[in-house]
Amino acid sequence: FKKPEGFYPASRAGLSGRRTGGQPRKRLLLDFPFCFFTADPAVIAPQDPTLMIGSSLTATCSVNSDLHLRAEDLYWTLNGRRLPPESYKVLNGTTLSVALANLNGSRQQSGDNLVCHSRDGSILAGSCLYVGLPPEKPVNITCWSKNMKDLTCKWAPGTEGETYLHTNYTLKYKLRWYGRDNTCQDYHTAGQYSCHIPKDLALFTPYEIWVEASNRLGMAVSEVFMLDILDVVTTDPPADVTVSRVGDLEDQLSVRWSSPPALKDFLFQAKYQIQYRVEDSAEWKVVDDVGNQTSCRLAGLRPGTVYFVQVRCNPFGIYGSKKAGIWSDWSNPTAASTPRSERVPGVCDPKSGEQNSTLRRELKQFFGWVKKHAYGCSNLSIKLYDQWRVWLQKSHKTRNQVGKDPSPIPYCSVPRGRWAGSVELERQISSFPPVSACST
Amino acid sequence: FVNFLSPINCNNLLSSSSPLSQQEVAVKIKQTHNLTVLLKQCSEQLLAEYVHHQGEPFNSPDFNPPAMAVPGLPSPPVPPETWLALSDGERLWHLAKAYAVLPGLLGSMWRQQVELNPLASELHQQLEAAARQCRGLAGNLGSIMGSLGVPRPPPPSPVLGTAPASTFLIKLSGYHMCRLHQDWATRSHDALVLLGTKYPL
Repeated sequence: FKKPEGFYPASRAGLSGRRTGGQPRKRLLLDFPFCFFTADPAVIAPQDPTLMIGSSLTATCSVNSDLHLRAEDLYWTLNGRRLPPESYKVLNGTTLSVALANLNGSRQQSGDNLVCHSRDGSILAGSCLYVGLPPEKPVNITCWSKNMKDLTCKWAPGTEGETYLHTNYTLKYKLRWYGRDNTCQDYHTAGQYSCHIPKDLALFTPYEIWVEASNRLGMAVSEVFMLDILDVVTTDPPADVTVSRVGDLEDQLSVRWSSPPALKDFLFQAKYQIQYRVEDSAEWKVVDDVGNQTSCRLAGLRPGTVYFVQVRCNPFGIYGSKKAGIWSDWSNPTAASTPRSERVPGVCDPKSGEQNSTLRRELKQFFGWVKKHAYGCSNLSIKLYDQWRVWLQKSHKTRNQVGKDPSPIPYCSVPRGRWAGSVELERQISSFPPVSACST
Repeated sequence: FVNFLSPINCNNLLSSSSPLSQQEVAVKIKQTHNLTVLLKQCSEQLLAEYVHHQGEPFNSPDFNPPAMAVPGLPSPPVPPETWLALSDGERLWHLAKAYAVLPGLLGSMWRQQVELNPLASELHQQLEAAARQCRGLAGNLGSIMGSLGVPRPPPPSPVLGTAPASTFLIKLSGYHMCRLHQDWATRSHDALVLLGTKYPL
């Protein structure tokens, strides 16, 4: 036969080129020019046992008599570590046993590798051990329904630590007083221990929900959790959130929104919450007592400051449910700025040159920001009026062109809220006669 | 299979590729060469990822497993030195034969690992990618061979035999599969390098 050199690092005992007795193996491929065992070099029993942590196991390795190996020539390893010879016992000429005690949890989910070696180190046979704990009852089941259309549930595994064995979780549900058990199919949608039921949910009748955990050592079932879909409804954030000034009032902004579109016709009793922060702070202030209206006025704000505002909705009381619903996500932040009354409308004294350069620096920073955020604005041009005679133009197409007639900034797909600041800017500059530029 | 410049060979009537120009063939060879570079790299990573999840002794550097019979496993016909001495056509022929079978074997391995190591998502992804890359290479090889008039090997016979019964044997067969995948990737890379010298861009 032809031995494939440099191909498999075949162990000496594992590939001796002898055929054992019995029928010649049918050659399935033409490219198998070398001989190999039709029977394994040795056999370990038991194969794939499953055991509790701390238990004991006696395993045996029986070598194929054709190998002419003696039991005394064998040794054992577990996960690569050699087991002490004191735990071995020669049962007969070709069989060696090993006694394992007080087993630790499996090191990998695919099982611990218990291997029988011949004296030169080559591997004769192996068996994978699964050592762990049975699962405990899953706990803390929480569920929510998006717009009464579906149901997502989360839970926590019962065991504080690990079971060391792969544990399968199955979420089951049924209508309380009739119907058969249903099994949730769509797992890990909201984290590792979660499942999503996308449809066919009844509304005015309670469900029983529970989670079954099972692994090789056993099964545990959580307590049954009862719920009514209408008590755990959440929805999308409110739509069309706008924030605008209240006339000239420096310390107020008016926030308006519409109820989330999916539940628009049901939200007689919904609650809303607003949170807002100043542009350069991470601290949100929450307005809690907004109630059911779709508008609110924020007061006590700082003049001349940009604010970010978000709104969210809790669809409680839907269809007469008595329980609190579940808060939606916050809407995308919307920005607006409060007016600053330092400028007297219509009059603006040209200050010293130093103020102008501060203004230019601030504006340059601002324009850099606008340019960065002006998606899709190929023709965006920003004009900066310095002295009325001279102005600088920044645009994607032309740079440093002096002396052209000013034209209004074309607005294109820039998020509405974030333009608040720059709208201010343009209005301020263009509302003054082009005599001097004023700091904003 | 010596006359590379002939148009479609009668043996290749079932081939879906039409005769390519010299330049097109060179481009295809270069593309396929790039694929074999990727395959070589990925097969190394796959082996490392695989042994990591099977535990010791699989991931020790001196792991020395016994050879085993894995049904359908396409072992290379000759040692590496002899491989380089074959003709381009012979190499392509052996490669086509191997890559007709490798995607299916890698797919079986993927299924086994999904059960054995359910949380090893990186390993699962790499196995899927490996099967996909092998399928791609098989397609490219077919196209090159069609254009060069190299006869193709017969389709593989259906593989008999069941998956290994014990977990340890499953781990072992997977290991051999990874090594084999790596070996074939190296050989395909060498073959494409040599072929590329004859069809420069």
